[in-house]
Amino acid sequence: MANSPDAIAHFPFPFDQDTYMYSTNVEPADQVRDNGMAGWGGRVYDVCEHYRDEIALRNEILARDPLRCQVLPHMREAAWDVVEHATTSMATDYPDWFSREERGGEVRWTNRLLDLEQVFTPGVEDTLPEEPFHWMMRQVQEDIELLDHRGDALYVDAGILTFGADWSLDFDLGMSFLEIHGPVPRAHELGVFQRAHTFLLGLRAGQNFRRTNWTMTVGRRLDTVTEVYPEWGPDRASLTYDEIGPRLHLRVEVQHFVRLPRSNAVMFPIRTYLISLDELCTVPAWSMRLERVLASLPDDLTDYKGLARYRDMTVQWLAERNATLGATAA
Amino acid sequence: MAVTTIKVRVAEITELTPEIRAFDLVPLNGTPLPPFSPGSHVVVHVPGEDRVRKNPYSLASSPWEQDRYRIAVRRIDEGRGGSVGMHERVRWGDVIEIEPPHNLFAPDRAATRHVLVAGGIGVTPFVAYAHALARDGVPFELHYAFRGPEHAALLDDLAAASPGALSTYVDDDGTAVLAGLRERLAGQPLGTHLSVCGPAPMMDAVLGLARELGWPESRLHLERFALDEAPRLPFSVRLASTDEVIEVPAELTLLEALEDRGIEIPYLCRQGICGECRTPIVDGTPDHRDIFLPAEEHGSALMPCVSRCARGPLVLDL
Amino acid sequence: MPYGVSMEHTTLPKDGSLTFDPSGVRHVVVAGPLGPEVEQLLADARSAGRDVTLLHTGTAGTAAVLDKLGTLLAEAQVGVRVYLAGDDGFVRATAAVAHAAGILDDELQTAVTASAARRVWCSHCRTVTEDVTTTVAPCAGCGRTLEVFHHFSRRHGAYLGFQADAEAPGELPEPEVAWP
Ligand code: HEM
Ligand code: FES
Repeated sequence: MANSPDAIAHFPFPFDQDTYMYSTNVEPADQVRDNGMAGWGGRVYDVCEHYRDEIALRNEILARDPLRCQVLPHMREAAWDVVEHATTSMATDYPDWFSREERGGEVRWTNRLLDLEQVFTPGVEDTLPEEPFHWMMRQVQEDIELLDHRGDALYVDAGILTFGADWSLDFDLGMSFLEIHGPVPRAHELGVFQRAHTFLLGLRAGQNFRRTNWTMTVGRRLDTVTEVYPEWGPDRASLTYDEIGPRLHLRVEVQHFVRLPRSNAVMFPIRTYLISLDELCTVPAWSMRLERVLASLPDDLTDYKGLARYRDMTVQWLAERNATLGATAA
Repeated sequence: MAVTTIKVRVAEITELTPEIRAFDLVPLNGTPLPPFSPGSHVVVHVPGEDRVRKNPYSLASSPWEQDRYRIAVRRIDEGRGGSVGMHERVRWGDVIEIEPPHNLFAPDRAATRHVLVAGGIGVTPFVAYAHALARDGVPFELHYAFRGPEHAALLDDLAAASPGALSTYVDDDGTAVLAGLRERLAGQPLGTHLSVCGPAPMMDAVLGLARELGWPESRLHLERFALDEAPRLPFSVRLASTDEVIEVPAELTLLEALEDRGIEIPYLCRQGICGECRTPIVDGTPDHRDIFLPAEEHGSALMPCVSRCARGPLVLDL
Repeated sequence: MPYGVSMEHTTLPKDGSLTFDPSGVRHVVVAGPLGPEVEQLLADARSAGRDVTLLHTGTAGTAAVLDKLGTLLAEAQVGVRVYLAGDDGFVRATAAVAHAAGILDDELQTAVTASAARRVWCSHCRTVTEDVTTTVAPCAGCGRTLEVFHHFSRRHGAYLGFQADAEAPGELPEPEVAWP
């Protein structure tokens, strides 16, 4: 499941400076973002070369642990909103693979990548083979959280997490936006979440925003939720210097913020991209920048992101690589 | 981010009461109008004699109708002229501009039951509520008070959407509806929320009654649809950076006056709720008419979409 | 506290003392067990002439009290106020029942009047271990050694726990008695 050169060229490389600190880094989502290569973004649902593999992986995970996807009863309308939003967007963005025709209150949905055809009536559960959010989530690569807007707060009352970065949906379900960010160091004091909260409360339908978040993962492993930490935790300690190139991955989440029109819920799709450091080093501007970002990352963020065991060794590895790259360039 | 407007055609104007007119707005080229959630409003760009006014009106139709939006407008002669413009200048067949729906009065979806109380034109958001709650199978009751039978607007729309849930009251001063509600508010199952929309004195009385009967604040929701009642006097402001002085006549908001001078302030609600238009001040005492700005910021900022000047000279940090 | 996380922003419950709330019309006091704080609350309610229902572990076990509270709130009406007192585990478990029944924050008061020992939710097997007093403790379900994290879920009425030595088996932090 390595990345093709084309996938690498579209990788959402998240750093535009040599240092990293939390900020309320949200921007309008409709434009393609420059990454020095082919650029990334512009679509809420990104269907890529790993589509079938990642859908199969998601199905396996859900079969093993159904609690990875949950919809509290009052989120029914939001679930249908997601079906409408995802089918409409995907059919518009990828007409060769998906189509959606609406006639007389009925929708005919065709997913050619999965060889699936379904006729359903929006709002009528019986017309789908399973609960609408679950049904839709088996056809997108994003993890999606749904936030109910009640009073002056947003509550994560539905969602799926199969490709998450060390948190647990089953534990966090029902928490408010501010509560769910409780464990994040520094950002509260910086006012990041207070501003993000005000921004999200005022988010309007039709005006989508996005941000990136990042960490690192040993192995090309999407499922690093807290539930299965005993499975992936040992990789952090077993990583050796010689394996960094193929095994250590920069993990970037592209997160979108979408106000769903009928339920007034906020939809939060999280799309995870993994790139091995060998792949990343094919773009010297990226490997040089990552070296500087990692070298200057404050200890508390390094710890929180789980990089403490291998950060120094990785900086050294990147420095060595970058020196050779510099030598070749010169 | 700038809001893109939608052009709609006025397909029907219905005289609902001597003071209230319904406007049915349809898309120009058959593309469906955006879906919306109950409680949403649209900001209508109302043609005026000299300038366009931007007035928010609740959507009073089913959220599942995408080929028509309905708004209902009560004519208020002493108001800012938006409603007068709607009544006098908007004709059948006209094309007008609206901003896409936005919601500042959404029903609490975790509620297991709703008590809705409306006074007069305040009933408009509850048409969409009734459609949505009935569709979701969430039980509700709607109490609707008006000054006299000839002032009852939208009764047919409500009865169609909420069979059996509607109680009406002919009421001039709120006594009838309060008497009816006393009993209803005393025995609601835990999980019920109360939403009120109507003239300020009536809303205060209903919320006061609910509090007396033990309702906590988090179960109480209100929409202040009535435009501010305090008189609006002309005033002037100065911009700290350029010393430019801007006159704000009685019929304009400060936000509108700034926009007329080409000064763009970000806004969402234009109702003093969302916080988007917060503008710092360096001198003067504002007359705060919003419900957003925390008290500790009352000396250092104001919300120009609704707030005015209590004691000048008012100097904006712009 | 790890990495400069500021406590006021975490999900950790904020308790206070119990004060009679005269804005309510019906009052439910849940105590495990009775103590001076609860006695004072009952006295204040009585002198205000209010209707009070008392559930406490003196006459029934915790499980029975949780059950009783659930049934009572299922039939309750708006206007009710709920007061919870006892050790941390008891208060969190009863609060989870109250929230599930639809009680909102401004209808609920909590006070930890006895042991601060925690309920810990194991993220690996989803068992809740009761009475955890140390920062590192075994899971009653899967036996893994859990680190108790500063993250709390109201829905589960428990703190987050995850395997403390997942990265390097046997490499365990020294347990500290943090919640006696
Ligand atoms: C809208 C829905 C959002 C949800 C459901 C969400 C959820 C989460 C969760 C579950 C975590 C992990 C916390 C943990 O350690 O347990 C997290 C981390 C974080 N979130 Fe959000 N988030 C949202 C939006 C935002 C926004 C708008 C910002 C804007 C700045 C933001 C900034 C962060 C940051 C900085 C972290 C720390 C990440 C790291 O260092 O790896 N989040 N978020
Ligand atoms: S525009 Fe919302 S407060 Fe002024």
